[in-house]
Amino acid sequence: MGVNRWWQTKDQYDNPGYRRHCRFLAQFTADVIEKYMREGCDVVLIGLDGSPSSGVRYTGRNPNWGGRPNATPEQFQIVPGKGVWIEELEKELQRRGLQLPRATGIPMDTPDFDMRKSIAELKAFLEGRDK
Amino acid sequence: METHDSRSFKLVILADYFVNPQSYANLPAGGEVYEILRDAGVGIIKMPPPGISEQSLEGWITITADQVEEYSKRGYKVFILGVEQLEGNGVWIDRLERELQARGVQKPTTINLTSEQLKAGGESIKKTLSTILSG
Repeated sequence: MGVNRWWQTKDQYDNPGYRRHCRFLAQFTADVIEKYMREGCDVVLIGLDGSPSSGVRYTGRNPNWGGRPNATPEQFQIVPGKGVWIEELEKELQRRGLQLPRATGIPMDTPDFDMRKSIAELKAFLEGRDK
Repeated sequence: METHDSRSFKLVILADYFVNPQSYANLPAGGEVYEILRDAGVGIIKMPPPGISEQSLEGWITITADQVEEYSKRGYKVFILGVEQLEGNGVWIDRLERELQARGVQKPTTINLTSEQLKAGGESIKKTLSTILSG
Protein backbone atom coordinates (compact mmCIF):
# COMPACT_ATOMS: atom_id res chain seq x y z
CA MET A 1 0.00 0.00 0.00
CA GLY A 2 2.99 2.28 0.55
CA VAL A 3 3.60 5.48 2.44
CA ASN A 4 0.74 7.39 0.79
CA ARG A 5 -2.01 4.86 1.55
CA TRP A 6 -5.40 6.05 2.71
CA TRP A 7 -6.82 4.89 6.00
CA GLN A 8 -7.81 1.25 5.87
CA THR A 9 -9.84 -1.13 7.98
CA LYS A 10 -9.19 -4.80 8.55
CA ASP A 11 -12.15 -5.53 6.27
CA GLN A 12 -10.20 -3.91 3.40
CA TYR A 13 -6.84 -5.53 4.19
CA ASP A 14 -8.54 -8.91 4.51
CA ASN A 15 -8.08 -9.88 0.88
CA PRO A 16 -6.09 -12.68 -0.82
CA GLY A 17 -3.35 -10.42 -2.20
CA TYR A 18 -2.56 -8.69 1.08
CA ARG A 19 -2.71 -11.98 3.00
CA ARG A 20 -0.28 -13.51 0.46
CA HIS A 21 2.08 -10.56 1.02
CA CYS A 22 1.84 -11.05 4.80
CA ARG A 23 2.55 -14.78 4.44
CA PHE A 24 5.69 -13.86 2.48
CA LEU A 25 6.78 -11.51 5.28
CA ALA A 26 5.89 -14.07 7.94
CA GLN A 27 8.17 -16.75 6.47
CA PHE A 28 11.41 -14.85 6.91
CA THR A 29 10.29 -13.00 10.04
CA ALA A 30 9.49 -16.36 11.64
CA ASP A 31 13.00 -17.57 10.72
CA VAL A 32 14.49 -14.87 12.93
CA ILE A 33 11.94 -15.44 15.72
CA GLU A 34 12.70 -19.17 15.64
CA LYS A 35 16.46 -18.53 15.74
CA TYR A 36 16.12 -16.32 18.83
CA MET A 37 13.73 -18.77 20.54
CA ARG A 38 16.14 -21.66 19.97
CA GLU A 39 18.95 -19.54 21.45
CA GLY A 40 16.85 -19.16 24.61
CA CYS A 41 15.92 -15.52 24.16
CA ASP A 42 12.71 -14.19 25.72
CA VAL A 43 11.00 -13.15 22.50
CA VAL A 44 8.10 -10.71 22.75
CA LEU A 45 5.93 -9.26 20.05
CA ILE A 46 4.95 -5.60 20.26
CA GLY A 47 2.26 -4.70 17.77
CA LEU A 48 0.29 -1.57 17.02
CA ASP A 49 -3.08 -1.89 18.71
CA GLY A 50 -6.03 -0.60 16.74
CA SER A 51 -4.19 -1.25 13.48
CA PRO A 52 -6.05 -3.22 10.81
CA SER A 53 -2.80 -5.02 10.03
CA SER A 54 -0.50 -4.87 13.07
CA GLY A 55 -3.02 -4.93 15.95
CA VAL A 56 -2.35 -7.54 18.64
CA ARG A 57 -5.15 -6.93 21.16
CA TYR A 58 -7.33 -4.54 19.16
CA THR A 59 -7.87 -3.96 15.48
CA GLY A 60 -9.89 -1.49 13.41
CA ARG A 61 -12.93 -2.48 11.41
CA ASN A 62 -15.74 -1.11 9.32
CA PRO A 63 -17.25 -3.41 6.69
CA ASN A 64 -18.77 -0.42 4.89
CA TRP A 65 -15.48 1.32 4.02
CA GLY A 66 -14.49 1.05 0.37
CA GLY A 67 -14.71 2.84 -2.93
CA ARG A 68 -14.03 6.57 -3.02
CA PRO A 69 -12.59 7.78 0.29
CA ASN A 70 -15.14 9.84 2.20
CA ALA A 71 -14.67 8.22 5.60
CA THR A 72 -14.41 10.01 8.94
CA PRO A 73 -12.21 8.88 11.84
CA GLU A 74 -15.11 8.02 14.15
CA GLN A 75 -16.28 5.38 11.66
CA PHE A 76 -13.07 3.44 12.39
CA GLN A 77 -14.33 0.91 14.93
CA ILE A 78 -11.83 -0.38 17.49
CA VAL A 79 -12.69 -3.99 18.27
CA PRO A 80 -10.86 -6.78 20.12
CA GLY A 81 -8.81 -8.92 17.78
CA LYS A 82 -5.63 -9.16 15.73
CA GLY A 83 -4.79 -7.41 12.47
CA VAL A 84 -4.17 -9.29 9.23
CA TRP A 85 -0.35 -9.25 9.40
CA ILE A 86 -0.29 -10.53 12.98
CA GLU A 87 -2.79 -13.29 12.08
CA GLU A 88 -0.58 -14.47 9.23
CA LEU A 89 2.55 -14.33 11.41
CA GLU A 90 0.76 -16.42 14.05
CA LYS A 91 -0.24 -18.98 11.39
CA GLU A 92 3.37 -19.27 10.17
CA LEU A 93 4.64 -19.80 13.73
CA GLN A 94 1.93 -22.41 14.36
CA ARG A 95 2.90 -24.17 11.11
CA ARG A 96 6.42 -24.46 12.56
CA GLY A 97 5.12 -25.77 15.89
CA LEU A 98 6.02 -22.53 17.66
CA GLN A 99 3.74 -20.47 19.86
CA LEU A 100 3.08 -16.80 19.17
CA PRO A 101 5.46 -14.97 21.53
CA ARG A 102 4.07 -13.11 24.50
CA ALA A 103 2.46 -10.16 22.78
CA THR A 104 1.09 -6.73 23.39
CA GLY A 105 0.38 -3.64 21.36
CA ILE A 106 1.00 0.07 21.63
CA PRO A 107 -2.49 1.52 20.96
CA MET A 108 -1.36 4.30 18.63
CA ASP A 109 -4.24 3.59 16.27
CA THR A 110 -6.90 4.33 18.90
CA PRO A 111 -8.59 7.69 19.49
CA ASP A 112 -7.64 8.05 23.16
CA PHE A 113 -3.96 7.10 22.74
CA ASP A 114 -1.73 8.34 25.56
CA MET A 115 1.99 7.78 24.94
CA ARG A 116 3.07 8.16 28.58
CA LYS A 117 0.44 5.69 29.80
CA SER A 118 1.28 3.28 26.99
CA ILE A 119 5.00 3.32 27.75
CA ALA A 120 4.24 2.59 31.44
CA GLU A 121 2.05 -0.34 30.35
CA LEU A 122 4.77 -1.58 28.00
CA LYS A 123 7.37 -1.48 30.77
CA ALA A 124 5.02 -3.46 33.02
CA PHE A 125 4.49 -5.96 30.21
CA LEU A 126 8.21 -6.40 29.57
CA GLU A 127 8.87 -6.86 33.28
CA GLY A 128 5.99 -9.34 33.59
CA ARG A 129 4.05 -7.05 35.96
CA ASP A 130 0.97 -7.00 33.73
CA LYS A 131 -0.33 -10.42 34.81
CA MET B 1 -2.33 14.91 -0.24
CA GLU B 2 0.39 15.61 2.31
CA THR B 3 2.48 12.85 3.87
CA HIS B 4 3.43 13.51 7.47
CA ASP B 5 6.34 12.24 9.52
CA SER B 6 6.35 13.65 13.01
CA ARG B 7 10.06 12.83 13.27
CA SER B 8 12.56 13.66 10.53
CA PHE B 9 11.68 12.20 7.09
CA LYS B 10 14.89 10.23 7.46
CA LEU B 11 15.31 6.47 7.40
CA VAL B 12 18.38 4.35 8.10
CA ILE B 13 18.86 0.73 7.04
CA LEU B 14 20.80 -0.51 10.03
CA ALA B 15 23.05 -3.50 10.74
CA ASP B 16 21.71 -5.85 13.44
CA TYR B 17 24.85 -5.13 15.49
CA PHE B 18 23.67 -1.63 16.38
CA VAL B 19 20.56 -3.01 18.11
CA ASN B 20 22.00 -6.31 19.39
CA PRO B 21 25.68 -5.56 20.12
CA GLN B 22 25.82 -8.28 22.80
CA SER B 23 25.69 -10.89 20.01
CA TYR B 24 28.97 -9.68 18.48
CA ALA B 25 31.92 -10.75 20.60
CA ASN B 26 34.56 -8.93 18.52
CA LEU B 27 32.87 -5.55 18.55
CA PRO B 28 32.26 -3.13 21.42
CA ALA B 29 29.10 -3.65 23.47
CA GLY B 30 26.69 -0.78 23.96
CA GLY B 31 23.88 0.71 21.94
CA GLU B 32 25.18 4.24 21.51
CA VAL B 33 24.59 4.47 17.75
CA TYR B 34 20.99 3.32 18.05
CA GLU B 35 20.40 5.82 20.86
CA ILE B 36 21.84 8.70 18.81
CA LEU B 37 19.60 7.86 15.86
CA ARG B 38 16.56 7.42 18.09
CA ASP B 39 17.13 10.73 19.84
CA ALA B 40 17.56 12.46 16.46
CA GLY B 41 14.16 11.14 15.38
CA VAL B 42 15.56 8.98 12.60
CA GLY B 43 13.48 5.97 11.57
CA ILE B 44 15.29 2.63 11.35
CA ILE B 45 14.88 -0.66 9.54
CA LYS B 46 17.09 -3.29 11.15
CA MET B 47 18.60 -5.98 8.95
CA PRO B 48 18.43 -9.58 10.23
CA PRO B 49 21.22 -11.18 12.27
CA PRO B 50 23.88 -13.35 10.56
CA GLY B 51 23.21 -17.05 10.13
CA ILE B 52 19.81 -16.94 8.47
CA SER B 53 19.03 -19.18 5.50
CA GLU B 54 19.58 -18.12 1.90
CA GLN B 55 15.84 -18.27 1.27
CA SER B 56 15.15 -16.08 4.28
CA LEU B 57 17.85 -13.61 3.27
CA GLU B 58 16.30 -13.29 -0.16
CA GLY B 59 13.04 -12.24 1.49
CA TRP B 60 14.79 -9.69 3.71
CA ILE B 61 16.65 -8.18 0.73
CA THR B 62 13.44 -7.94 -1.29
CA ILE B 63 11.44 -6.27 1.45
CA THR B 64 14.29 -3.92 2.43
CA ALA B 65 14.73 -2.84 -1.19
CA ASP B 66 10.95 -2.29 -1.31
CA GLN B 67 11.23 0.08 1.64
CA VAL B 68 14.25 1.94 0.23
CA GLU B 69 12.45 2.35 -3.10
CA GLU B 70 9.15 3.50 -1.58
CA TYR B 71 10.54 5.90 1.03
CA SER B 72 13.04 7.42 -1.46
CA LYS B 73 10.22 7.98 -3.94
CA ARG B 74 8.18 9.78 -1.27
CA GLY B 75 10.91 12.27 -0.42
CA TYR B 76 12.50 10.62 2.60
CA LYS B 77 16.27 10.70 2.96
CA VAL B 78 17.40 7.08 3.15
CA PHE B 79 20.80 5.94 4.44
CA ILE B 80 22.55 2.62 4.97
CA LEU B 81 24.62 2.24 8.12
CA GLY B 82 26.94 -0.73 8.52
CA VAL B 83 30.10 -1.85 10.27
CA GLU B 84 33.39 -1.99 8.39
CA GLN B 85 34.55 -5.21 10.05
CA LEU B 86 31.38 -7.25 9.49
CA GLU B 87 30.83 -9.41 6.44
CA GLY B 88 28.76 -7.42 3.97
CA ASN B 89 29.09 -4.62 6.54
CA GLY B 90 26.31 -6.38 8.48
CA VAL B 91 23.77 -5.23 5.91
CA TRP B 92 24.50 -7.64 3.01
CA ILE B 93 25.57 -4.55 1.11
CA ASP B 94 26.44 -6.30 -2.17
CA ARG B 95 23.09 -8.10 -2.32
CA LEU B 96 21.18 -5.00 -1.38
CA GLU B 97 22.99 -2.85 -3.93
CA ARG B 98 22.42 -5.43 -6.68
CA GLU B 99 18.71 -5.51 -5.92
CA LEU B 100 18.45 -1.70 -5.91
CA GLN B 101 20.43 -1.46 -9.14
CA ALA B 102 18.16 -4.02 -10.82
CA ARG B 103 15.20 -1.83 -9.89
CA GLY B 104 16.87 1.37 -11.07
CA VAL B 105 16.78 2.78 -7.53
CA GLN B 106 19.58 5.14 -6.54
CA LYS B 107 21.84 3.69 -3.90
CA PRO B 108 21.34 5.46 -0.56
CA THR B 109 24.27 7.25 1.07
CA THR B 110 26.18 4.49 2.81
CA ILE B 111 28.26 4.91 5.96
CA ASN B 112 30.35 2.26 7.68
CA LEU B 113 31.61 2.71 11.20
CA THR B 114 34.87 1.04 12.17
CA SER B 115 35.41 -0.85 15.41
CA GLU B 116 37.91 1.86 16.40
CA GLN B 117 35.25 4.55 16.03
CA LEU B 118 32.79 2.41 17.96
CA LYS B 119 35.33 1.92 20.74
CA ALA B 120 36.06 5.65 20.88
CA GLY B 121 32.31 6.39 21.06
CA GLY B 122 30.83 9.84 21.71
CA GLU B 123 32.03 12.57 19.37
CA SER B 124 33.83 10.13 17.09
CA ILE B 125 30.54 8.39 16.33
CA LYS B 126 28.56 11.63 16.06
CA LYS B 127 31.11 13.05 13.63
CA THR B 128 30.80 10.00 11.38
CA LEU B 129 27.02 10.13 11.57
CA SER B 130 26.91 13.86 10.82
CA THR B 131 25.74 13.24 7.24
CA ILE B 132 22.65 11.53 8.66
CA LEU B 133 22.11 13.81 11.62
CA SER B 134 22.47 17.09 9.78
CA GLY B 135 21.38 16.13 6.26
